[in-house]
Amino acid sequence: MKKSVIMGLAAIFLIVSAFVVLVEIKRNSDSGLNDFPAQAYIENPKSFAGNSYKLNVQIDSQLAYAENVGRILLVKMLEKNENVPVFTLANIKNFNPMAGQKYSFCVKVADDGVLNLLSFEKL
Amino acid sequence: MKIFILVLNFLFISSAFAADSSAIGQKAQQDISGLGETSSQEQIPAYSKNEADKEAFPLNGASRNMPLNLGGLDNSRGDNILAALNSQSELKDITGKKMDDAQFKLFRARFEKYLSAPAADDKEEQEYNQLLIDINQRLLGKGGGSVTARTIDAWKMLFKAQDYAIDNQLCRTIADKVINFWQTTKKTEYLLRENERLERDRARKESSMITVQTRDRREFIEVMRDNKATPPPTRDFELDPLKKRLTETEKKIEENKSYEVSSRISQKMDFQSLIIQFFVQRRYYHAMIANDFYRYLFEAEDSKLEGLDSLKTQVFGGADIKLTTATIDALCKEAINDSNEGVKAAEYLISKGEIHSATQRLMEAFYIGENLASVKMFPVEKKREILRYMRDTDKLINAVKVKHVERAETILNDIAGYVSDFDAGQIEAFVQTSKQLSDLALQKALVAAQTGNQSGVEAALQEAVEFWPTNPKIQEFLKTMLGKIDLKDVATADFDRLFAQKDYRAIFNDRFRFAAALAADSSRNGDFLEIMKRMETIETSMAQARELSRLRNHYAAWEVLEKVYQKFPEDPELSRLRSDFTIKASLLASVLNQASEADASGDKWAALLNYVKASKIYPMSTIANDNISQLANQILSEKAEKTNRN
Repeated sequence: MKKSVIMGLAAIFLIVSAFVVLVEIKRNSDSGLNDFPAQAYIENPKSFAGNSYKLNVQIDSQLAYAENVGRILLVKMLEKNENVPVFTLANIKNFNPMAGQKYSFCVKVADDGVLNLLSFEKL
Repeated sequence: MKIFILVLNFLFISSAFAADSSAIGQKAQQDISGLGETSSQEQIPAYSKNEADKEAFPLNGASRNMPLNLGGLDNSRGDNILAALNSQSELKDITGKKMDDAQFKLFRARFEKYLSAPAADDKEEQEYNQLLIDINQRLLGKGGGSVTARTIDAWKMLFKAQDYAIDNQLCRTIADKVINFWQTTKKTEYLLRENERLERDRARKESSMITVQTRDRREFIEVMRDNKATPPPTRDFELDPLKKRLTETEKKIEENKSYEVSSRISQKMDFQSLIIQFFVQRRYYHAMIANDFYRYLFEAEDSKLEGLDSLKTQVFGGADIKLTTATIDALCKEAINDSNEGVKAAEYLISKGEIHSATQRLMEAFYIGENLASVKMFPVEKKREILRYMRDTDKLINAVKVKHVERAETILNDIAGYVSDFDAGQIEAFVQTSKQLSDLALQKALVAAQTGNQSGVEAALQEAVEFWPTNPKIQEFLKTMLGKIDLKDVATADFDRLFAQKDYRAIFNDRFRFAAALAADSSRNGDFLEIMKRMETIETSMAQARELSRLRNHYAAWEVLEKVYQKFPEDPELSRLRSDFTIKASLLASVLNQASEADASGDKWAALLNYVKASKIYPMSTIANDNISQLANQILSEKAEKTNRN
């Protein structure tokens, strides 16, 4: 009895573990992006031109806004104690950031080193 | 008496360089040179009207126009003061005018020499004086005897008198003249006898000639009566030698007669000259003795004195008066008497403390009878009192001349202390009025200075100096004025130099001096105020930075300095303090520096990143925050332009 109970629990554990691993693998395989090297980027942004990154951030403030152009947001990286500005185009739909909101940003470094927001997901 | 003084005055001056006086005159000239600086020469300007005086008193022209008359005195020269002080004011020349400069200088020098000399030896002077009187009396008949006997006695006494040193061999001169007279007389007598002999010889020669001529005449008549064809030869050969000898005899007689006459006239003129010489030398006793000898030696002759026509004309005018030996005798006696009286009066006045009057009386007595015993024996201590008074008045005159008011006051007080008859009223008025007018002119200068009237200041100052050159307030005024002028000039020059060097810190450090100097300088005051504002900003920021640093807020401190430094990088103090604080805030400074460099290079995003980083380091950073906002907007603007172009 005891053996069968232990065997049953172990099987459940393995199933759960396998599920978790699968879920994680699934998530990573969905983004396909590396961690953002915040320090190095700040030192020399143009050296990262063309790269894309996923950032988990919290909106700090809006630095500037231009109609039909977009806005520059100052965001605080959640995993790192760094602040970086992010440029968002005006045509990104349903993006209504407010200070304190947390997002997962998919960004790309442009030629001039500007972090352009490609997509976002509210956390 | 007045006439006598006039005569004496004329003679005194005219005799200054004569005979015995010539040496005295030269000495007197030396005395003038020696005393010039302290006495005699100082008197000169009071009476001279020449150009040299004008040079000595350059302010005369201006002074003549002075508004007040300074207590009735001419402030410019003090002539009236000098006249009031001067003891020679009574002495006038032959025409009634005051002595001129040369006359007074000569007299003053001799009088001072007399005052400085010790009194003559009483006993010797009295003996000598008595002997002269005795000679005079003997000639006049005292002791009886014939004229010849009295004359010889007096002549002998002359040799006794000449032994006295004070006689200066003058009696010997008289004695020599008498001897000369006698010798000449003897020779004349011989010539008279010789003439008598020659007359007899001439008579003989004339008789011989008549005899020869008579014989010739007789023979001629006989020949004519006998009708002889040929007349006999004349006896001219006998007559010619006689004629020649007769001519020679007559010539010799004429020569002897001529010599007698000329020698007599020459003797008279010689004696007269001697009398006059003694008189003009104020050797009255000698003049009287020579006079008496003259009268006895040339008795029964005209006693008129020759060669004094010009003197007679000036003294007696057109009056027909003969100047005779008697006239000279009377004048001599009056002079002796007057001089003695003057000496007595001077002694009495000195005993009463009336030195001013005593000086005048003794000066008159000396002027008349310099060689008289009474004058010579005047006590030396009393002479010293008069000399002291004269020198004090000289000092007073000098002080008045140069308008040294304080010195004039001091001397005036000194004189008033021992001279009871000194009239100080005019000089006191002069002193007080000079002071008041000088102070008044200074007030005018002050008012002119306050209104910036430079020419008015100069004119008023000149006026103040003219009235009272040593006024201490003038010195104070000048010191203040010069100080101000110097400070302003130096400060202006310093300001220009520092401004050109952009050394605003140095200007700020000396801001009080520059503020005072440039207050009225419209061309520089604007720059000065601008510098002060700039420095105020710098100083405030530095003070603020120090305070923040004290609170350990180094980033804030550095930022305060950095912002001011960007505006005023030339201030050394600010630069030094900024450097100090840059070390303390090196992290922030480094990031902001990178941001600034990136911005300067046109990489605005990199600049924004660094400013964001800086803001992360120091969230209160105004530099970072301002630049973040500014750069963000610029970046969007550039993107908008790019979008529009596309």
